[in-house]
Amino acid sequence: MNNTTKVTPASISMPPVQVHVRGTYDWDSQTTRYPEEPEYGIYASSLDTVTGTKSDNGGSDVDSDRNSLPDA
Amino acid sequence: MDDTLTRDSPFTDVRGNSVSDAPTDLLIVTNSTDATVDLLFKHGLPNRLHVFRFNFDLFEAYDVACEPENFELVDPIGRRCTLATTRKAYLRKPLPASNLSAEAAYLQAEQSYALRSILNMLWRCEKLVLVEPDAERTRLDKFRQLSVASRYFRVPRGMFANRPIKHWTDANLTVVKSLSGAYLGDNVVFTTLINPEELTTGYPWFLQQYVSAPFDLTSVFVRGRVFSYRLDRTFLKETPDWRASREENTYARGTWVPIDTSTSLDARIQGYMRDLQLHYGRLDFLVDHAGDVVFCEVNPNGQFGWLDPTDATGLISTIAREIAPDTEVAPLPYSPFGVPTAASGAT
Repeated sequence: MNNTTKVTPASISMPPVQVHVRGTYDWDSQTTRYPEEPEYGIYASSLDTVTGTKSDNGGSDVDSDRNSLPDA
Repeated sequence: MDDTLTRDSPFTDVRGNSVSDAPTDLLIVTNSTDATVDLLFKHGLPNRLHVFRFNFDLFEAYDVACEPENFELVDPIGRRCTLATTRKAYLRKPLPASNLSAEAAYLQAEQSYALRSILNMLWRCEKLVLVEPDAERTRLDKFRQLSVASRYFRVPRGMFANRPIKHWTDANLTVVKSLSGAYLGDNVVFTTLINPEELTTGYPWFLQQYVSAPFDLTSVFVRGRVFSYRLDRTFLKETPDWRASREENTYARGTWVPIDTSTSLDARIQGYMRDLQLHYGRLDFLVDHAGDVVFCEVNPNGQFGWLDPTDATGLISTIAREIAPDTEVAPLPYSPFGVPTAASGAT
């Protein structure tokens, strides 16, 4: 790159607001249940990381760093 | 079409019926952490019996089989879905995971390919409703969106360049945006005010004229119906992008206020979406100080749950009715498979 000026994508980028959410996916109702209903950013669906493992109770733990970045 | 794959299927559905007569009816393709789909269940979708939710992030929990003319999905409790048992299919957000090992990345790529094949099968058979897969990455890129939008809305000048721009109007009032929305490490390039002459040569930049606006406006188009919401931007001190704000109430309920755009905007949205051949989209606008609406973009699979999580405006229940297995099937108006559809226009 021929860097003649100083603004780069990295220099103006910033981390999205994130909220950590841990829930359990319930196969019967086909919805994810949370210990308490989170409000902040929960309705954003862009996810940073998601892991899912089947648990003994028949559900699947879903543990995500959910960023609050709507796909605007 | 034969509903039996060549392998044995030892499953029965949740009602104890044999697999051959178990209609699933609605297939939702998404992730298990998609709260928007949870809201659809909460506000109108029938639970369990006629809906199959396929969560891409839990791919390995399902039995998945796919042949050229059929597929079979079976979840851990025996709920089953095939091409023949699917009356409608709705694509939400089967987002891939990141930061994977080499083997996990390979597995995910193969799973993504299989899922794309299943979606194409459903699309070809006119079972996909509302959301067109990858429309913004294929035929409706931002430049096409802006070009068609200029027929109906005021559109700020936008361009891509990989060198400093010296002949740009209002040089000090320009924003850069990400075309792809890709992550840069753990960061995101939000809409940012810049001086275009200070951009580093060689890097890819999407520039757009800055619009001074006291309000954001977003309108959700659901096959002919429009739901609009407005955000007061006066709290945005340091950024033109509300998503970059660190104000804690930005996403809180009630921040986006429903507004009636039936006389001022909806007819133009109808025309625009008809031209794009979309049955669903979330259109983002700015409202300037004179009250004029300025088009930003349309997201053909834009999320909507956070706008009205209690369904006070009927947005979520309207989408639930559209995709419900017992209502009219309105196939996607655009098809890449050369098969004309009956629903070429919004109703």
